Amino acid sequence: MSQSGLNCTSRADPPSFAFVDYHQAKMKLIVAEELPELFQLLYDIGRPSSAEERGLRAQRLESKDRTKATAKGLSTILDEESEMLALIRNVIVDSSKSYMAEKISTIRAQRNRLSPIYRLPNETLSAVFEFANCHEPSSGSTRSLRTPAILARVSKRWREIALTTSSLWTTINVVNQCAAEIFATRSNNALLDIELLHNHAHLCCFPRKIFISLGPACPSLAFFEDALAALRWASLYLPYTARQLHQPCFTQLICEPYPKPSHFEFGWDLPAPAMLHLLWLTMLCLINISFSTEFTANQFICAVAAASPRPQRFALDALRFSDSDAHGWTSPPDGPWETATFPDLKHITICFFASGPTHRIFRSMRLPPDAVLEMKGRWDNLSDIFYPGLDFSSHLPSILSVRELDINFNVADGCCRIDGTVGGTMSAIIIGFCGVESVGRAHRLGQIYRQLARVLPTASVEELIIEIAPRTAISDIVALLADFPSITSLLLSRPSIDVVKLLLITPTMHLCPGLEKLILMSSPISEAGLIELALSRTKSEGPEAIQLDAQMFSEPKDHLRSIEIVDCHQVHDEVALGQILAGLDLTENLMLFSVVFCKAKTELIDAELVMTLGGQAFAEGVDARECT
Amino acid sequence: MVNLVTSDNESFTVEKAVASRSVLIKNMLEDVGESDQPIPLPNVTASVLKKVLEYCDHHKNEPMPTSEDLAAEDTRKRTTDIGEWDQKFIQVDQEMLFEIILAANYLDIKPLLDVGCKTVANMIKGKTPEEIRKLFNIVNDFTPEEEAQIKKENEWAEDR
Repeated sequence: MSQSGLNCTSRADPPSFAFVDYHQAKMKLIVAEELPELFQLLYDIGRPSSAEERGLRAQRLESKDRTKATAKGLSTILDEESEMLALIRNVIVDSSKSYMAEKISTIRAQRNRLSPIYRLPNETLSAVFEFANCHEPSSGSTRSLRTPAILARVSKRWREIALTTSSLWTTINVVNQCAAEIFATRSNNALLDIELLHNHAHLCCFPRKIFISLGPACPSLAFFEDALAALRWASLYLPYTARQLHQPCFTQLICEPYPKPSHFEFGWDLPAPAMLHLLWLTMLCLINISFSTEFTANQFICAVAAASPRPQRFALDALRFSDSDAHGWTSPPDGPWETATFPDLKHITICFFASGPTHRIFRSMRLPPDAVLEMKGRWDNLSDIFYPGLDFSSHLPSILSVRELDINFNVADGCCRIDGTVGGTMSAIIIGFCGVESVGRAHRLGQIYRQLARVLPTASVEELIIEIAPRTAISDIVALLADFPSITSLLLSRPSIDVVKLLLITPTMHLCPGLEKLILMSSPISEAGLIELALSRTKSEGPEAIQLDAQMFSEPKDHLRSIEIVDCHQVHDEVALGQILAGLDLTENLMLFSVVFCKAKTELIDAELVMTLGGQAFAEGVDARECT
Repeated sequence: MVNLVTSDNESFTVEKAVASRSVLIKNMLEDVGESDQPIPLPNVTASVLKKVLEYCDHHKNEPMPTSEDLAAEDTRKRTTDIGEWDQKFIQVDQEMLFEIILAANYLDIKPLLDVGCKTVANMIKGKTPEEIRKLFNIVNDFTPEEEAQIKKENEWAEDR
């Protein structure tokens, strides 16, 4: 600092007045002239230069940051350490838990050794599993996919055995992708039963679901195709094939011959048989397939026969005729009819054909002589099946047996002529009619009745169900029943009183001599008529039949044993009727005789009353009714 | 006649036709030829052998399954149907049931083994894992992790 002009003496000596005055004047001058400058000087001295200032600022910031950083770093370190400790704690807890779980599991596994079933060796337990998983034909369903999964959840040992038993995992439901993938892996290289089966609850959206399941991007499609192409399939079940399905799937599908594939079903729409090499199939079902004409159906069946020439069972279920052929099948609109030959066929089932002429389809099939025909369904015209004017046997010479035939004649449309024969035996026949309201048509009905015996092996039929058409001539009914001499069970729907009276045994007439069970539906028969009938068919007809020997008791084939009355409104008082019948002593042949009354089929359970006639048994029957 | 000696040293003298239902004994007899030497069965106790011989005696006139039959057996066509007599025969406690199965396995009597396996299979059918455990006195020895894994794996079966 500059001190020019100011000479300060020692503070011990007091200054003189002149000196003070001088200095006062000087100070005033300085204050007036030099102080601002001095202040500026002082200010400048205390103030750092701009470079220094920047440096200082930087230093201050650095210091501040350092402090902040130090705090932050410390908290981070502490956090990390606490996290680390928590981690260590978790690791220790988890490993302890895991260790304990393993130990508990080991101890439990040891404990399981005490179970008697543990003594079975693995291969025996595996055989048990296979039996537990086997398909019961009586259940009508396919194997449950859940059984293997349940077996694999019981214990560690069971799981190990289940997972190594390949045959448990061979049923592949492609729709259930998760299961399909698990099963496909666990089945190793075993042959697969591939099915596209879905829960019926989801049936309405099923085609879309199939499409999703089997779309090209879906891995299960790749598996599906791979499995088929790799010949790993033993059976293939496609109940609901939709157009979305077989376009991406079957156009690429070639199944070369393989010894095992034995079962193939497809319905709704169908892939062209030429795309499927089905040389080794033993069972083939065509379900619910529509065709535009008989000819295209013939072409398809011939194509199937060419692709799969050796089926032993062949089912045509609900073949339909509509405007167009089933999707995926194209055939020339017309041309020469071909013959489908099935040399190994043992059983052919024809079910539920819709209306339309189908006889030429049957004519075009060549079957071996011992094949069995099973027919179910309702046909408007018997000539749909039995070609009019032709000898049936010459066209289906091989069919020896019709197990069951359910025919619904549409008399209005035709059925004017039935010809040909079906050989062998038949156990049941159901005959229904429609379109017979006018007298003229009733006459036609009579013709049908009289022709049936020429076509069908009626002599062997034991169960007959007839819906009696109005105005049917009694003589026609007599002719019809006379053609069925082996009937043991007869259901007459809407029979008039006169028709029921035909069953009375008289010196001149004894229809249905082996009748054991009679069911009358919607008949105007009265209580008196019923009593007369029961008396007639249960009393012994000849002195030789009165013999009460053990043989008659054990084989009561010659007498009515049961009458079921459904919806017969003229029978008012069942209890009184029962008492009357009991009083008539119908039990002389020691046969159980029962009468079942039903108000209507729909009320069968509630309204049913069973009365076993004769003494105490009848009283019990009445008690049962009162309880009801 | 054939003399069989059980593990508890009891002796059974049976017809050759009965003893030969066991492939093991049949082969032994063929190997040894005509001999009065007793055949030791160290894995079978007297009570179990008695039951097994009862089965063999009842079925002694039935044809033996050939190796071709066994080879041709298709597991897909198997059923768990058991004949009426066999059903009554196999109505024993679990302990005896498994002993019979083990004996049938050891003695190589395939039809009896099948009857035993079918009986156990019928006991299993339609039951949940827990019910099966209870039936056979088994405890769940899966660890919680394994249990979770299995549950996840079986999700497809849960809602059906």
